[in-house]
Amino acid sequence: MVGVVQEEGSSSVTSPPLQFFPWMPLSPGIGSPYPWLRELKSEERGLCLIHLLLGCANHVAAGSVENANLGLEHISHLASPDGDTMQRIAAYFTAALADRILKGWPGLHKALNPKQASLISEEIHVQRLFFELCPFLKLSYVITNQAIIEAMEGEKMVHIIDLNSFEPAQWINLLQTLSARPEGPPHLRITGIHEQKEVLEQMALRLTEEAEKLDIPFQFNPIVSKLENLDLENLRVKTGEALAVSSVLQLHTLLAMDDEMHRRNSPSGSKNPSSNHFQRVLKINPNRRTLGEWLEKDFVNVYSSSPDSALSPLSLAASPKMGSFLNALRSLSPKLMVITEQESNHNGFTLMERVTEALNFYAALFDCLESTVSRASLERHKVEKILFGEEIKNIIACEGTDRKERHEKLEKWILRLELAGFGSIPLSYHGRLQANRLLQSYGYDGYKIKEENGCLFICWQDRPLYSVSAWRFRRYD
Amino acid sequence: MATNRFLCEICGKGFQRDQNLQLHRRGHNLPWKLKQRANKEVRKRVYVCPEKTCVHHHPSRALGDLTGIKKHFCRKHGEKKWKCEKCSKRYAVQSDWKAHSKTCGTREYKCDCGTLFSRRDSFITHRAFCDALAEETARVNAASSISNLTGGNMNYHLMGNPLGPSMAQHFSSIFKPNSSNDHHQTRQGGLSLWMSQGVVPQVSEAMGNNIQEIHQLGSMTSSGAIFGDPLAVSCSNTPPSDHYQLNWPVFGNKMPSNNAHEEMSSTLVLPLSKVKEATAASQLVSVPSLYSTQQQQSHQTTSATMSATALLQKAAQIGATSTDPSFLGSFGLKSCSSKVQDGNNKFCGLYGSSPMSTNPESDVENSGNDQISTLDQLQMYSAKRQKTFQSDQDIPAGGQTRDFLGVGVQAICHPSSINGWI
Repeated sequence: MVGVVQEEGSSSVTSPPLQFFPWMPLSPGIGSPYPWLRELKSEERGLCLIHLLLGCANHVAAGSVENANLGLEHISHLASPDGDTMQRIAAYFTAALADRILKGWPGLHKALNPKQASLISEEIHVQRLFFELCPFLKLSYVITNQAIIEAMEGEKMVHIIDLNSFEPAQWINLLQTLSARPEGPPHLRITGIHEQKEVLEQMALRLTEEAEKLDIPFQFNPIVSKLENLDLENLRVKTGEALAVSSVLQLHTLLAMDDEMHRRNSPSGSKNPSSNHFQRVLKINPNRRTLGEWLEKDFVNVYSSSPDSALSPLSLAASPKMGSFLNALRSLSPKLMVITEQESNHNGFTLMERVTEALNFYAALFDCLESTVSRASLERHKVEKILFGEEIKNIIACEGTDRKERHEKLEKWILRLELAGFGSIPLSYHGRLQANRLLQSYGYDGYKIKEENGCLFICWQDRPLYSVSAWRFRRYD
Repeated sequence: MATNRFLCEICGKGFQRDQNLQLHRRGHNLPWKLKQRANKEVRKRVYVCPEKTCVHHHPSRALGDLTGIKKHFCRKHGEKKWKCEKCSKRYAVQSDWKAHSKTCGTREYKCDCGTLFSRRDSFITHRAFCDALAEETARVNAASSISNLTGGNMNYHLMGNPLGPSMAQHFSSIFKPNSSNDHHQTRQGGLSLWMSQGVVPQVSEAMGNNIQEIHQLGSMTSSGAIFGDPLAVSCSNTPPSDHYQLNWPVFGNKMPSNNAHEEMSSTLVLPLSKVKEATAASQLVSVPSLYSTQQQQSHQTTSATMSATALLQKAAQIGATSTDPSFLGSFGLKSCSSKVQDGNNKFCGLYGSSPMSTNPESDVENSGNDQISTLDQLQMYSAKRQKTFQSDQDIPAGGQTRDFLGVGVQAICHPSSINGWI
């Protein structure tokens, strides 16, 4: 057994024989794990965990609770939120799977997960930690700001709508760059949206302070609201203003909808209307030959059984919330909308799809943290548990309108936005340059910026993790 | 003399060209409403390019200026009659040619890859993306020997990053509002450490981007490095988000942990071969691992531990190749675990039978299903061929796959039920 494994090109790690794999029948009667489990080298333990996780997820998807329970039990002896990357990932994935099972007993679930106000302030704190520990948000802000500056060249009145306004650094950076503009700074209004009033008050304070220092006419309008409940009329967009929208990891929450109802209601012969959809898109975008070609090529694939169910024509139909939001946005005719989203498909119909995609995505994120922050760090632990852990839980354990973390890949966003009447603006060379400079000046290593069709991807070791794209409202000529 | 047709309504000043009028009007700081021009009914003459294939031939893309359209026509559709004397560039418009010859050869920047630039901004742009080259050299040199630092272009680092200081400080002040002081401190400490080792003039960009950054940082934070107690600074002041590459254990600092020593030596000697299998862990991982050893003792470097992404890829590989008997063993054992009553189940008996209250038949069923569903799952994410796997399951226990549970495992956990389910 050992010999065969090493043939697989394993490292020079001298492994204990694979018979020490812990899928021995661990009856509940046996309390402590076997001591030799700890001697497992991390690589084998990691592989173990992956197999066990997938097996367990299968059980959960199939509804066989007993086997899932056993799987979880097995994993619990190996996983740990304080261990190496794979152990941590396994810990949070099993928590999510267990949460999913527990939802079958709503009383139990509610008893164990009461709604707490203190959790919300933790969540906000953790967002800030994520901003500080990893460069992703910083990069997104830098690219967004560069796109805004370029689009607003020559504009005297600029209005920015920030869909999740919690980090003043983003706009402070913009204020500083604007004040250095050759034609002088514009009159700037920022409308910040957030669920917590205190966060917005803090933003207002910091930003107005900064604007006063730089002598820029500035106004901050706070809007305390959930994104899905946002009434765009409240934004009081004035005529003659140049409008820009900044959406950083927010838009996907609007995809939350009642999937079951949607699936039941769509006609089974949905192929024909959707094919017209695609043909319209092809006609509308004569210049976007790359997209058109892509669509043509995948014309067949989309209707055949594609492994990625999220690309099927069924799911491309906008969720009601997304549809109404995009329509309302269009009515404001923004000059620019910059969207940053996670580059991974966590919106598949089936659980297994989501589990495998999420495993790959969060593995990269956890690796990221592992290589930049020490294992003992409390901040890292918090980010992993409260930010990533909760996202994973939402992806795996929630369904329907509760499942907000509906990340999708950029190719899907492009289709959605184009169908909704937006045209893509290629992100400029300068944005990419700024992002690279940021990486260099902070010495963040292992991160890359990739460009494709005018959109930028922020990658960790060649795996794209976040996509940034810019859009404008497109009038049909 | 051309008339000043375009008049500013605020102060009455006249201009020959509309663009100049607009530029002038900006200076009046008009409130937004008045920014639109009052008399929009005035029809402006616009010019289209006579060349039919040109984009500007269409009236919607017309230009507003006669001189502009003439220049456009010459540039795009004309013959390049003007030639620069010093270099070989040709121009179709005389004013372009004049402007170029003023700056040709006056200032030159040279990247290490050999490209010459006359403009500072294009030089910087190029250098930011010339990282491909820098990585290449980093990889080559890191593999050979770290200590062999050939002379590099220190000048270009300092000269070539004029915007660096302002930009980075820009960023650092914005994006690190709380901990900027700490970071500056550690950075200086790290750099002075480097300098005090006496290898400053021989730094080459071969060490990769890290060194470039450090030098840039060094050049910007303080012209003379603060030769404080670098060890004290970097050892004692390690906030969690401290950047690992600032610690330079390579040059003989005392390590807080023994772990660091052996890991570092291994990474120094063979960074690449060790991480070769970690497919996702490219050479970039080996470089930071040099600097990450000064973390807390429990921290393992990424070269010693496979990253999670690498593990996932490996798991997919193992799934793809069907001859891996660990799978066999795993499924066999799993099915054993959920079985209750099987006469041959002495292996399960070793650990006490799991008090599953469900039927043996249903257990068998479940386990069989488990295998299939897990099997299917593996097929999903690794293009595995089920057939070969099936044929593998027929391998007798006496074959390659024997574990300490003895022959019994394969025989036990190869009940006909398994084959029956496939």
